[in-house]
Amino acid sequence: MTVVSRTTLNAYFDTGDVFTAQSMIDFIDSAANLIDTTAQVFQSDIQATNLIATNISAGMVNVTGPITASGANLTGRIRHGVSAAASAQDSRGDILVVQETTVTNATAQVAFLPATSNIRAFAIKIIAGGSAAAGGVRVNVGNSDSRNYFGTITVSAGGMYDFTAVSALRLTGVSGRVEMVCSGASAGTNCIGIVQYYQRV
Amino acid sequence: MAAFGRPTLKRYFETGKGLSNRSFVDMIDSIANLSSTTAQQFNSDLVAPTLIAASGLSAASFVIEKQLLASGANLTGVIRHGVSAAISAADSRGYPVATQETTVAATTTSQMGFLQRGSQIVGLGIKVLSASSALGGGTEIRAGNNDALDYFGTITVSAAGNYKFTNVSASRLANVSGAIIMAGITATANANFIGCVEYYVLVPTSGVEFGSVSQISNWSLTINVAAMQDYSLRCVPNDTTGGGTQIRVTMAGNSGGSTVYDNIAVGVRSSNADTVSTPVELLFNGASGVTLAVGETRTSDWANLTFLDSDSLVLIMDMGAASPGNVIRSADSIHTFYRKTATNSFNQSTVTGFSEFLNDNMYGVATIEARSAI
Repeated sequence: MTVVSRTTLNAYFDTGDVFTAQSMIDFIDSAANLIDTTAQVFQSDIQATNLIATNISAGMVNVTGPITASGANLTGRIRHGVSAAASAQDSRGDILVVQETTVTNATAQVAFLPATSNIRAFAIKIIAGGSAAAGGVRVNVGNSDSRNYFGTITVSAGGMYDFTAVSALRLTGVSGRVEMVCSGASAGTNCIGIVQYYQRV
Repeated sequence: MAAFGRPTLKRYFETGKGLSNRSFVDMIDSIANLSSTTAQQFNSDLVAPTLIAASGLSAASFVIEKQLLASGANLTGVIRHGVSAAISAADSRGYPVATQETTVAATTTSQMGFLQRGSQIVGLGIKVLSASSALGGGTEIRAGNNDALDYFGTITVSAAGNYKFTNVSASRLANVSGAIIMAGITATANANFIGCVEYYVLVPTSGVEFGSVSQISNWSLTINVAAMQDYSLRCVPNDTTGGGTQIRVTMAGNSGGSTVYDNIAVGVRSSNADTVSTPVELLFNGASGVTLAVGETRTSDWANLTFLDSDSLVLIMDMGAASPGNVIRSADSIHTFYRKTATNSFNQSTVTGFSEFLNDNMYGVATIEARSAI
């Protein structure tokens, strides 16, 4: 298939020219075809009011207005802020992602973190606490190797609690399973474990 | 190039009609061409199973009915998440929280983040890796900005762990912009805590905020020059460093007499003395031109010009018509200089009849500064 420019095509059909079958073949091959099913590659930008497709693939999407998507899966690193070139250093932050799951007195996987995740916080929402006299609710946060790798807190009343005494070294460069278990909880589904994190390069 | 609809084109080739050169030219010009390298604009929507763009897609708005997939995403502006406001009650969209964190070394000040305009801080925290003992007074950590090291507060800790600044004035957490810094005042070891700032960005209410001003070039102007009256001067400096979205200049006056400029402008060079688009005029207190007293310097207002470090600039000075036509220049002989008499060219991108002087000097402009919107 020979693709030629408009200038070349126009020259095929100058007044007085005898055009050939090849002229028409080049003409047809150089134009976008409405029923072709293989990808047609343009050398130029294409401008239209709307580009409507089941799938759109691009190295970069530049949108000056809102992006509206009913579902969004952003893999890799997600950052927000002004251009690094337009400002001082650190003008882009990493988007915080939250995962949570209901935790019972059986070990539950709260999240499965991608490589190089940095954890910002662990929290537990105690919906129904255990009595202090009975030892309260003991919450362990850990991973597959150690159920209390990130720490343990014991609470005896409903509420929202943060894990504040976590080793900072253990919060950086994390990947894989994050698990929680609430022992001493008074009901089967009375705790919600939360982990907040972002992914670094 | 004329484009016609299908009905018109089909009439050209109806049975019995003679074919003309015009028929084919119109048909060629009316259809998309695969080898064209300039943008081709359709009046209709384009529908395809998959649209593939090697470098980018650009749109005023983007509606995706199902999934937006991105392997890496830099999201500028305001990000919101939630259902459409049209199908729900108020507050159906929230702002995702961004976080920035930096290792802060002992007894030093580090920039944690550089927040864009309209940022609302929801958390300031520290992950302490190593702290001083309570007996030793603990580790004092301050969070603030470039104006006040403890603007957001001070906490003292004596054990490793994850801590938050909890007693921060709420008014100081709203509508923040610029540098956020933290300092370890009495830390015991190097690199022993990690500061964190968490924030989201509200829709800006008005105006544009700019980052710091950078001087992209300056020259020592020492040689008085006369007889430049009514010339249009165009200087192409060879040694600017940096770019921005706004620019301003500082003009230096002749040390022997006053200097009169009718208009001063600047543009990004295309070739020779020409600019890629109409130069932007540099005003002085909102007025065109400036008259400098003996040895006086005056700085122009900021003007909107987006340029890159790799761009060359053209500085345009239209001199007053009256004698003696004083100006002052450098002596470095490294710039390209153009001039034409009896001309004002401050608002022209393409000029003719200018004399070119290679390895010449900088005239009139002592300093160029730039800044960028944040």
